[in-house]
Amino acid sequence: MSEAIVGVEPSRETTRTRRADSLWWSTAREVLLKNPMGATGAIILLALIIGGLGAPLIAPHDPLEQFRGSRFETPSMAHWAGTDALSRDLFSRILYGLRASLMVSIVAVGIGTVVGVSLGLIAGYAGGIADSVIMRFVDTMMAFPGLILAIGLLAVFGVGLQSVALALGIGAWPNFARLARGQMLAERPRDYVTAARALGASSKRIIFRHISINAMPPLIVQVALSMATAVLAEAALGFLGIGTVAPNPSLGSLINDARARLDLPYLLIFPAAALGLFLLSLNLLADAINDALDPHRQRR
Amino acid sequence: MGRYVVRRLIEAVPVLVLASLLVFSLLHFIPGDPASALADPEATQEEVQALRERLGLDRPVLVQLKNWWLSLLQGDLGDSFRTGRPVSEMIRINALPTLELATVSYMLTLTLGISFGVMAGVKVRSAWDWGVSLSTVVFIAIPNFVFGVVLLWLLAFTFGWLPIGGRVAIWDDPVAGIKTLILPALTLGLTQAAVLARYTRTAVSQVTQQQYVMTARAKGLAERVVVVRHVLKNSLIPTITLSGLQVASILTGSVVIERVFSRPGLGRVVVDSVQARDIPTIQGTLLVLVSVFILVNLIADLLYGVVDPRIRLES
Repeated sequence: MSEAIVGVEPSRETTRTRRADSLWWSTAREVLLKNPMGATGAIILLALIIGGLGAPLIAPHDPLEQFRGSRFETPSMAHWAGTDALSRDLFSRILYGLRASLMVSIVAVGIGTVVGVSLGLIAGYAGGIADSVIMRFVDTMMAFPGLILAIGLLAVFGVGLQSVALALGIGAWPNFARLARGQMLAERPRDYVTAARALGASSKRIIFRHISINAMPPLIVQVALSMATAVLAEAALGFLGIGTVAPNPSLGSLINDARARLDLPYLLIFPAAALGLFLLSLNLLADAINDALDPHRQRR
Repeated sequence: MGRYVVRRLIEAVPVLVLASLLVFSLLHFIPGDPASALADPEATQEEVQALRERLGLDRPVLVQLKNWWLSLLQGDLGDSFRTGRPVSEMIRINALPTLELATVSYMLTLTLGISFGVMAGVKVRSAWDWGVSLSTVVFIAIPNFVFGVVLLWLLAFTFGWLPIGGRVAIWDDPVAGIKTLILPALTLGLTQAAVLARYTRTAVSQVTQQQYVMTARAKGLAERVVVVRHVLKNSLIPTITLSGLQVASILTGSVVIERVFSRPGLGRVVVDSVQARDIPTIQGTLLVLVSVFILVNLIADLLYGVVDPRIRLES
């Protein structure tokens, strides 16, 4: 008897994996091929990711290099987006600002997702005291508006990119926890959970291998939305001058620089366009994923 | 209704207590020894010890917490590291410009957001509808501080209609006061109004498709009556929820927008405190802002009960 179950094990595993895979593929197909908005968002985002993460390879100049005698040069072949007050190449600074923004938001959302989803799933599965304690904490965290909390935490951790990523991650997890808990409550009474338990699966295995896969769709949308929130917050902190440390660029600090020279609109236009496209692409993508995963809209 | 109010009030207390606990613990989140991290890098051992005693860090945590709550109850938020003045006094002085900006922006948000949202929602796919949808997309891609700089460039720098920044108190010089307020208030108000309009539009358009609205129209009521009495009241719940949350967005937004227009206010206090790692000021400001948000959420909850009797009767 026990041998028979052991024999069944691998094939059940494959079925689950294949189902999860097909969910990913059908979602991706839906988002990229059938939804022009989603495709546009994905293409813009991809270009920005290549530009940001590949900044050391792509940027024509070092973002901190000063070109003597070329202060506030308007865009030209030598400096595609012009130069700033300290004669630095603005295009290169935008690429590095994008890079900082990407890294901060990826780390922040990573922290938020891992911590939030784990705590949310545990709260929903365990119920009782654990649930009350975790959710009270979530409620309290959510009473703090994101940016204000981040600013407070920056005072504690000290200014710098790592602090910003950590602070934004701490602000992001309650949303994930709340969502994951809701999903857990919806999934827990399903037959497949009972079946897994009847087969002797441990709670840990049921939570993290069975339920988490099925609870995924709304969380994916939340990841995209949280990315947009993190990008926006990072830019706002940079604008306030408490994001990156001085000479290093962030999209927000570049926009703050532009405020000092309103007679030179190119200082504003390029960084603002980069930030705007970044936010737009993330939102388009989040909308498209949401549509693709919404069972009511699924076209067969 | 009375019992509903009392229950909501009681529910708000633990959140407030937990929030104050969280704000208290900020000081203890500082990596390593808080006193030496916050002291001047060249401070002597004695100076660090003095700072530790001033912050009360030499006492057991529970005693610190008790003292912190006791002084909170007396309205004492401690003294600022940076200026040496009481934090409560700094907040009181700087809250006024921020409140002024937030209030005017919020009124703009509510009037523009709800009226445009209703107009778009009642006539889906009309010009209003497209306008509202388009502006929401635009304001999603343009953060409020970028929009602020654009307005500054266009209306203050290029056309010279309005001052570049700063603040004049309205009671000192009403005309100049209003002029310095217009741009920041427009920046915050329009960005938030776009979000509220989008939400209201969805809520209204969903309610408009309900059968009782068809009935109301079928019995020959004027469109205005149908919209105001039947549609609006039932679509207000999501609008109230969002407008409650928007108070938070607007106060947070003021912190950033104040910088755009070089206005004094809580934003400047907070940013200066972060740079100086002035923890007592940060703690005090954070606590005041969070209390405001909790209060606003409470009011929104109470308003649900007023708008929708089902909610208050359920309790």
